[in-house]
Amino acid sequence: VRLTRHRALSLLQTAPTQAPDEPAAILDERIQTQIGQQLSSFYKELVNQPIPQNFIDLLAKLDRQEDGK
Amino acid sequence: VTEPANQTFQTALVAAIPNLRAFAISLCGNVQTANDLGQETMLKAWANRHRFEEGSNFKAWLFTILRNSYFSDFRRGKREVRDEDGVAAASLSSLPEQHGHMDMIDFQHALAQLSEDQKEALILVGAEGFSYEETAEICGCAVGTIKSRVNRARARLVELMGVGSADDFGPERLSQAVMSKAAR
Repeated sequence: VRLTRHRALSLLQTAPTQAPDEPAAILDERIQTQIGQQLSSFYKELVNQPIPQNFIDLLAKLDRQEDGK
Repeated sequence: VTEPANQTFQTALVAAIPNLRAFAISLCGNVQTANDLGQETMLKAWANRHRFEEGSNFKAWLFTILRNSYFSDFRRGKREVRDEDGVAAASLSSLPEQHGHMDMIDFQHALAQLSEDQKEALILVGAEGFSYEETAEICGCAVGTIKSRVNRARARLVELMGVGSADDFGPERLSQAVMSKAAR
């Protein structure tokens, strides 16, 4: 069957964004998975940042306090 | 406290710094304030080290100190918290590691708009991997409260990120998700 331009357009316009037989619960699970992945990569990026110098300085200060006692 | 015990305590404290900072940044939405909060937490932990019960969860103990400090001393004024764009913008511009993925910017913006209760519960359970029970203990509330906060946080994120309906989760967003997955 030859796909006319008109038919192709109407197919595009009516293309479902959700497979017709996909229950809402599965779609929701897919979205939740995606959000979970974004949360993980957001957080992982923060955890992997280098430790600022003033944290290291603070630890050294605690050490000195301890020695002074 | 004996010298070797101090040494062990300090080693554990150092190991926890990256996670303490990540949690603080998530709560504050601002790196500068978060660094102050992280250091305040370390000082308090060190000063109270004799109170830590051997064999209990050290990370949970530290996170409890951090969130209590945040809610008593470090929280922004209510007006500022409501300035959602401002909070998001500040955290975006002060995160040097951001690669500017649209996905991630959308996500961070959405996260900044959650209520503090919801954000805290979501990060502890969803990102730090604490159990509901541990999280309830850290936050000083009932397990059921934590569960409902996490659920509401997730639902709100779906709403904020514009994927709340099948129509919004259309081909464009899907292909973006697929492409960003492939790029990893």
